[in-house]
Amino acid sequence: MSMHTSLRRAAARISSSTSTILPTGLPASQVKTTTFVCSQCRHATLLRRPKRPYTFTQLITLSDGSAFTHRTTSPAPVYRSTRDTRNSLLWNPSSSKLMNVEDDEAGRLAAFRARFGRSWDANAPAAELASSGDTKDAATTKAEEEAAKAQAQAEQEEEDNLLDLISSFGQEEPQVSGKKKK
Amino acid sequence: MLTGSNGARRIASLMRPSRLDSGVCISCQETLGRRQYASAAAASELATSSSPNPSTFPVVKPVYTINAGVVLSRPPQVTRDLEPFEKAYHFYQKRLNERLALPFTKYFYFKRGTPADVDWKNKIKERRTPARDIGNYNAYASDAWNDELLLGSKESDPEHQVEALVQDAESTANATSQDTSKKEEIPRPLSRVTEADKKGDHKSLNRLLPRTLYLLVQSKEGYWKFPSLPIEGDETLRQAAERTLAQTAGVNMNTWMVGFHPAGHHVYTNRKPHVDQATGAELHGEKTFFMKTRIMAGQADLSSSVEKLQDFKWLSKDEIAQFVLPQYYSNIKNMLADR
Amino acid sequence: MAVRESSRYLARAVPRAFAPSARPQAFLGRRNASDEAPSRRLSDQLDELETASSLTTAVSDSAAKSFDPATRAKGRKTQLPRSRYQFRSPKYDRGPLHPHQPPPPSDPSSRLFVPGPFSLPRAEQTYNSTVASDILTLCYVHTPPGFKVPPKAPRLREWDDSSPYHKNRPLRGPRGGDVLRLLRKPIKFNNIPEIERITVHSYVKGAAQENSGWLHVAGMAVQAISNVRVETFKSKASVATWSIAPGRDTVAVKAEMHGETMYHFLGKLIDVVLPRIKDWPGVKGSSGDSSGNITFGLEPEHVAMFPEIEVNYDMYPPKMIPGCHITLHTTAKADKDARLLLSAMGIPFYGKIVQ
Repeated sequence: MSMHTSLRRAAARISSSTSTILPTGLPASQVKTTTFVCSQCRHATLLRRPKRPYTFTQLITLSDGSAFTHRTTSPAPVYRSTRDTRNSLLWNPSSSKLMNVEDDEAGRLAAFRARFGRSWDANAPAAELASSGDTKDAATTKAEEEAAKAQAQAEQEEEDNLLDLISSFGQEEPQVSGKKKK
Repeated sequence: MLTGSNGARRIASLMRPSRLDSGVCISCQETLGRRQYASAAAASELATSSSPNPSTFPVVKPVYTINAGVVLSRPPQVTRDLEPFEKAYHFYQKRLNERLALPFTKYFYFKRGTPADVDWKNKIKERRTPARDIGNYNAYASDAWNDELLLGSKESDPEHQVEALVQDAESTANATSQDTSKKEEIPRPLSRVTEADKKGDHKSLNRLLPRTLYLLVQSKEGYWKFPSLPIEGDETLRQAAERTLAQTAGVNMNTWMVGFHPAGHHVYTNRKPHVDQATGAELHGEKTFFMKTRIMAGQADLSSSVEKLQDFKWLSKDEIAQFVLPQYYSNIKNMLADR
Repeated sequence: MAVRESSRYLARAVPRAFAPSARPQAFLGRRNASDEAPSRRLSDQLDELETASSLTTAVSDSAAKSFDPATRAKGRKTQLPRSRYQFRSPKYDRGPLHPHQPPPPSDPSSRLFVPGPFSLPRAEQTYNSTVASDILTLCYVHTPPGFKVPPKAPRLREWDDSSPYHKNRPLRGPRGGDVLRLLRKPIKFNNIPEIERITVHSYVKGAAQENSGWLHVAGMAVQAISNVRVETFKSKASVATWSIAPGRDTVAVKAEMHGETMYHFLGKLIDVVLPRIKDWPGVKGSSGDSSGNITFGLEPEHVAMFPEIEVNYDMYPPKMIPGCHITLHTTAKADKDARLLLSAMGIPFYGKIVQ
């Protein structure tokens, strides 16, 4: 009987020591868990090979020409995206190019506004021009941090517009100098 | 917390002599006083009786000019270059993966008899494996044991792998398109080395894309340093740093100041204390506190700088060591990013 | 470069460490007898280090050219037996006392070996080079010298001993509910929040209502977008209107990503998939389980925008591509920190931000 217990203890110690040298980066399901068996076990555990789908390396080219590789299950060697963080409004809230929804090439909308619109409407194109000066070097703009500030900027934009509305009430020239660099 | 207790606390803090050493700044003293009053009122009573009043025994402390500095940085724009060991390791793991991953299910991606399917079969015969970036290697063949690269082979290089991907895409496009007269051309990734790198232009923001760049300015005495100006009045450090940035490097930049706390500091002690004309106080040197800032767009412009700065440069961490004084570098090096 | 330099620094630093100093050093007083053992002596360990990196050693051109293992192996008259160059791990683990032990899972010959990493993901590099240090600076809380953190009341309350039955009772939970929230510690250099794992989960009600085909399609789609094999789950709740009984119907698939796979998925999601969604406002600001895990959902038509599904969209049966929930598990202890991290990585949030 005493022989039996000493064997058990040895087993427990060995198995616990093997579990400590396992790489910790593996997911928990793949790491062999330590089991403290209370009686001699005679069965064998099947070591199942982990199943993983075949992965390729793919080159992704974003719309502004930047490219990076990633691992993917798709067999296409190159993926060229037309719509991504570089040209979507949500990630580039200060970009005037993306904000312009309506095409006003002939200036007819502007003429209509000048005639029938309020000063708030007339103000809008000027404000957009002012903010376009900030983002003319779009290549260095970091989309990640822009997104973090998106909320605050949008709110400030609205406030500025309102302030402009108040300050430019009854004046011919809207005050552009109120717009400052953010 | 009740608002009524606020005024009472302020009165109490005025009545109670400060038992803090005057090395602590004003806002910290407020924090300390508030917390201690709130938590340990009994202890402060005890302290009142024991500590001497600093106003009755004025301690002569050395007076320093407090500067607000700005560490304006451009984060890395491209991924870093891999070490040779990393390249070799990634490549070897990819070849091991050939043997260990589930085989590629061709029928799920290519319909039988389509041009893409025919093209895929031809390609597989050539390169013996579905992956394009691991060279000519079949993990199930009899020579699968020969999975290590020989000296001087290019397969583990990321540029070589990207080239293989693009060439494969081009040949597929040419083989599957209807008109054979036009050759499909897929643009390669842009170069990681820019014009500014080749010319050695230190003023451009488009240099050293995989590294963090920092703005350094040259004072009129010829020393290189981060932009810094003395704090005026009772403005906070962040307000002073924003003003510093506008007054030294111009307003033509879209910047973001990270947080409200300085990331590092630098103390410069004069050999001899010199007397300030305005206040008559003896200045022992200057202390500069650096605020971390990121640049999104724009470029520095020294034409309107109040300090008559001579020049500016965008430098990475190891280049900074060559320009600034060793004492200055030992103070600032721990807040700069290695990459 | 760093490898080469470190050996140089080591060579410079080692003589300094062993130089006799006039000042008695503090750590000498705490020397143990076991430190003298040959296995623990520092000088012996340092002798084992090679001074030069193996990648820099020069190999003569003739030796490099003449080395060709494949032709050499083919030129042999008699081929080596397979056992000479290939070790096969035992298929079964027969316990720690069995003489035939399987190799550890980190060994490439082990049956449990998972190769990787295959690359250094771009999102991971962005995190390490830019985001982590910015979060550290943003979340810094200044404590003046001499500041003591005011003591807080214990989270589990004592019983007030008004009844004799309070003796030996377990402590009471916090006020206002029995949930013990995670403790948010100040963010220092060693607990900067990072993304731990990403879970893609898809609940397929068609699998219980109609046939198992829905589940197979969902499994293939989720595997395609996530690069890992999916697990299936049975329903835990009973939904009478969909005729789902708990424990009977397999209704969900889940894929869990770690490490390199996770960062590749995140980069793909942020840079390619999310911007393509029409009129997507971002992730809702109130999302999160108040312990740093943020979840958002994708509709079936959004899942179809993944490049992996786009490439063979025709192969999926029409209208059977599932929607899914994506959970980003971070090591942040509060949702506020998790949102800070994710928005820095490029995920936009909208609406009322709930802290």
